[in-house]
Amino acid sequence: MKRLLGVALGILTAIGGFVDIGDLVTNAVVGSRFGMSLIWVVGVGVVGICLFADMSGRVAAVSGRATFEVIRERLGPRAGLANLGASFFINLMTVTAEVGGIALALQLVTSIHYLLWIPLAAFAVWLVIWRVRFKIMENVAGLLGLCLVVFGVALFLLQPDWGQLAGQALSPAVPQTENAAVYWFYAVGLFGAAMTPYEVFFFSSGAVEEGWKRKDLIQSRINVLAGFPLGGLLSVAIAGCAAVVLMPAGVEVTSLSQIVLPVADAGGKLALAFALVGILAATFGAALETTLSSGYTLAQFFGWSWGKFRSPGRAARFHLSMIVCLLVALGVLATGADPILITEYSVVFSAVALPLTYLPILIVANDPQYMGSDVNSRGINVAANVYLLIILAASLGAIPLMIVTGAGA
Amino acid sequence: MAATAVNQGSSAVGTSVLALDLLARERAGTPAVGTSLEDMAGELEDARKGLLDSVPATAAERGLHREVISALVRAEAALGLARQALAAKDSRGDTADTPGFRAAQTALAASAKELKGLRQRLGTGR
Repeated sequence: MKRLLGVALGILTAIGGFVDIGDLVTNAVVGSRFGMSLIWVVGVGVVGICLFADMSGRVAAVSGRATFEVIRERLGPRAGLANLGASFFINLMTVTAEVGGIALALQLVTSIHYLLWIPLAAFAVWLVIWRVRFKIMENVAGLLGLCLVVFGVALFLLQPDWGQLAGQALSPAVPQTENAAVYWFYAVGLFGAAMTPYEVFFFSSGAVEEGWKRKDLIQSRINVLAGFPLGGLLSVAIAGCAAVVLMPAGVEVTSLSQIVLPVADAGGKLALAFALVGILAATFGAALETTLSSGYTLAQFFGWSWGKFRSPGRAARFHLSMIVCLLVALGVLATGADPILITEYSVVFSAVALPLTYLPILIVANDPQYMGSDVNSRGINVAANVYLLIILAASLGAIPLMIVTGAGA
Repeated sequence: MAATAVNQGSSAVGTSVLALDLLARERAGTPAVGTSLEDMAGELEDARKGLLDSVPATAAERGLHREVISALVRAEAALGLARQALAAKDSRGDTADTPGFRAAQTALAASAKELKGLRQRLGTGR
């Protein structure tokens, strides 16, 4: 019974924790501009993140080593450092976007300008990382994030033309008001939002934090294979709400305040309250994960003592690096940089940097000497190699598409 | 450039119409609607400033620029009315059934229609 509850909790946490500011913004932008015609990318991204998380979780459980320890070992210090630089930069952008997202959500609740909430949001993130136990932190944020299910409920309440939505989703085409380059730019962005590298840094480091062993692999696989696809459905619902309400009104999403309007339209103030709690939990949870991921990547690469299971005094550099990251994010946001714009860039750069972390994990997960009997099966290996090609294509296409389209303008 | 500004303006006015409608139907509270209107005021200002910064090449383009800028200025004024109506509702507890609120809805609807017309003429610029 206890094990069953653990599995259920793990799945629910994975669902609630799947959506972050990148998913919220990118799905709403895509829904408002392309309807459901890009929703296939969410499916591609969800399968990709399931594969990636499964491999990195397995490597961590079998070897007791998290992603960046493996990357340094496999690539050596020089190539590993280049990898660290790129991954850390993307992660820092995501920390900034998530902290900005918390502040924007608080503005929607209180009317107080988001810039005033930013220091408080960053302080709260630090305080939770400093004081709250890993498991509690992960579960509370994930479970509250489930409030985002209200986007799915809202989609039903809006009583859309399901045939039309399904038609857009199943026969994807570039809308007449858009061009092909912009379509593919947002496809890459949506893919980057679903496969953000920090999710894997956090997942594999969390496996070490929680002391996973081989016997825990089944539960971890269930969490990933059930939780992430169901979390992906939340992304679809967000895009669907935007497609049904905002697209016909000629509204293109550029702010968080627009994303919640369809929910209010469908379900009134109660639904809006759920959406705001969900957004707050999703951004706060992701801010915790990205901040921790910043500390994890640096500490694992440089061989510092790390982990929330250690007291801050025993992992001082790990904790100090997270404080510095939060201060940098605070500094960037204090300049008035738009958190939504930062989010849009962060998901595209996530796609750019993805092969750097995916490839070493794929190599290790394929190494029988390292993994023993838990090496990639033939089926997983074929799928993982197909995804390597997709990830490479997205990575190589991202920057040219960004330049050609003026970042999707 | 004019098409991009019209797009941006049309989207901002469309959002404001929706937000004000939700407030009138008591489906959203003033913090969410107020934030939305504030964000859209910023969008309109960005669209107008962006257009003012660009230099039209021909006389026809200059005429179009003037037309779009005037439409954006009218949209900003309509949004100003909406924000005033919201502030009155917030501070005095007015309902949505006040002359100020109705005037804001009418002005935003007119602005939305004007920008939609311009959008149909210019395309999306993409």
